[in-house]
Amino acid sequence: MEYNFEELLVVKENDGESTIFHFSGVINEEFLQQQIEIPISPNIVLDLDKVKLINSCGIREWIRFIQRMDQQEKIIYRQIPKVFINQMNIVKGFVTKNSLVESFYAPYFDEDNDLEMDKLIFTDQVVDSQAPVFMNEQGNELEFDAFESTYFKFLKEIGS
Amino acid sequence: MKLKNKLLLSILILILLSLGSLSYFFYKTLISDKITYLLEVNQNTSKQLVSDLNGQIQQSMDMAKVILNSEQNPYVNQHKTQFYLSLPKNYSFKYYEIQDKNLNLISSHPIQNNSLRNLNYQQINNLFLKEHDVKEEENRIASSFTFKKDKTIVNVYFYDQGGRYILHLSKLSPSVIKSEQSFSGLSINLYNQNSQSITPLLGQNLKITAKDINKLKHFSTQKEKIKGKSYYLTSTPYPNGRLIILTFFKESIIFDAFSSILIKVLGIIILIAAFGVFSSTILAKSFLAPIYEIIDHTDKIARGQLDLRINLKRNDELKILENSVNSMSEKLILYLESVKEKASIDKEIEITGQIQQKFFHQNQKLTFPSLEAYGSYFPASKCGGDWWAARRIDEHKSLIMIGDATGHGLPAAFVTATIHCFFILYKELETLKKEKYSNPASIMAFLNQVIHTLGGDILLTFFIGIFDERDKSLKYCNASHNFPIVYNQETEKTKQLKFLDDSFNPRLGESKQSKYSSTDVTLSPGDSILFYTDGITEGRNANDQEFGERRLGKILIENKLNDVQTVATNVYDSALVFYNGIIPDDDITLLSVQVKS
Repeated sequence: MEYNFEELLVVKENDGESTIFHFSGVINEEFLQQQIEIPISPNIVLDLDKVKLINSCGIREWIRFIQRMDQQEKIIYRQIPKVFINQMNIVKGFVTKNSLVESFYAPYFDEDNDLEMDKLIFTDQVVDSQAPVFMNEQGNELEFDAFESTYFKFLKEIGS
Repeated sequence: MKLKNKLLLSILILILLSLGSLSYFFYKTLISDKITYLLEVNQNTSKQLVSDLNGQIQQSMDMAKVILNSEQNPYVNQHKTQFYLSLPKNYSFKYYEIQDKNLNLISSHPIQNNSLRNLNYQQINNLFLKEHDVKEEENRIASSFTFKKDKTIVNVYFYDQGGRYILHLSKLSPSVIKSEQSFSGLSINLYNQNSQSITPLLGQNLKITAKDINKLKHFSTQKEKIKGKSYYLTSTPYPNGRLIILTFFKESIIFDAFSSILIKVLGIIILIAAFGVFSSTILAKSFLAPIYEIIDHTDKIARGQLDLRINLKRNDELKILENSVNSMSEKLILYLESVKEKASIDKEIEITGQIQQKFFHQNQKLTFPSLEAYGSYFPASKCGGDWWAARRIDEHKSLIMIGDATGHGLPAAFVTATIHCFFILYKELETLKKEKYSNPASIMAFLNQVIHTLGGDILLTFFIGIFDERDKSLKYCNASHNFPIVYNQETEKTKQLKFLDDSFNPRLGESKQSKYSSTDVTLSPGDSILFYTDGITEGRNANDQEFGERRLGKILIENKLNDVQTVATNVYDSALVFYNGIIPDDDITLLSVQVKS
């Protein structure tokens, strides 16, 4: 099932145990989250890989959306983009206690090739708030392009 | 050129081209067809003539044989007189006996009024020993023709095998040429040809020489120019080789007929073209009159008469155009109204921005005994949703606040005005209820109640810090605002930057029941803090790269030795360089604070 908003598409599918919501586009004031039916299934998976942007009005709508899932056993986040991570770290209520993060993107910088990139990280790769190490083509370490102390803060707030 | 004239011209050209092409095609076909017909007639006439002449000779020869038989057969001879009387009147003959090179007339027919001349022996020699105008047969038969306008005389000479007798039979036939002018100008001339010259036998309307005849291909029609005139000729030699039958017609006679046809066709073309012009004039008028009406109407619309409507009284495609024009007028009215409304709203936004600037300076430096602060504010539109303030609370404490309302523009500016009201009244509140309002968490909770009364759609991230210069402590409460960054002159790497991130509370206005807590941090002289809103870190360049916190941190380290104003200015300038012409779509606020040494 699809939900079409101005700049956002939400596709809902069911894989038996979980209901998966795939988000792609921009989450803003046009995200009429109340139109999305929250199923009764125990687990909800939020696939955020194709989310480009979330603005302050989008944050407001997102929090209202998440608050409607407080009865779910687990809300599982997948492929969280960097723009989302920033909000998860700063905005109280952006993620709930029943949230679980599977994977997310982290920013890295390749100094040798002057390239910025986002790498997909699985939660268990982060140990003691240390970013996992990646190498470039030349065999040199990529620089983690954020503050580790703040970027992985959300992992302390929620399950992983 | 006017549309009407273009239309007329187009129709005229179309008619002329069509008719012209058609006429040319028919003309060419007609000529070709006519020439083919006449050429066939030409050839067939020649063949027919030869056949006729052959027929005449054959009849004469048959008759001569009969006469010979009657002369030489004793039984028939007895009754020959009666036989001869029964002969057709156009036959005459003379029968000779040859003795010692003399010809003795034995019998003749008709006995009286026989116009045949007597032959002499020399003539016979000429007939049979030399070429004559007809071919010599094996059994010594010769023949010749004499052509006159109204009759043809066929002469047959039978020289019997014994050499003793000769029969001269003459048949008078109607002319082989019915008239010299037949088949629309076809002429027939007959010539006697020898090796060097030709002698006209019949028809003298073509002055032709032996040389001309020799050029011709016999039995086929060809076009030839003779004495400056073109002819279509068929040359047919009679089997004896000396009689030439020439059938021909002048080219100019044919084209006289075609010229006549052409003139008539041209006349018809002109008539049709004239009719076409007339019809298209009427048609153009029917088309163009409503178009001129529409032009006139749109001109009135351009002069502001939007309430006018056009009615063409048509039921064709022009009716659709009429409806479009009328619909356009209606939409223009609505559009102008919305433009007026927008202009009015823009004006209100501009005024709001001006009011906002009165209580919220774009750039302001504040100096307290232990703190220096410099704030810069760059709204994304004429008024914005960011806000900051700092003031001295008492002889020891300073209050620092920074916030970011949801969205930007008028609604967000309204919220900042609300906060500003609180800020103005703060001193009174703090005096009345010191315990409550000297704690950032309490202030935050109060503000939450205030903002929540605005409906819950506009929320605010907010940071409140109270700095106590006695112990350099900063008590702060953060309601989901960006973590302020702390650094000093010893900070070398971004990993050494610190963040005021130990207070984590809901945004203002989200829920009436929201709880807030504050925390403390101890600062040192020389410590600098940058408070900021996310407009700067979330701004992007054309490559869709975010400015980001780490880039911000690096710039702070680069400016660690600079004063608060320079820091704020340099941070903003660096961001603009990064954005590279892309205008940020969110408000940016920077509040640079330094603990004095």
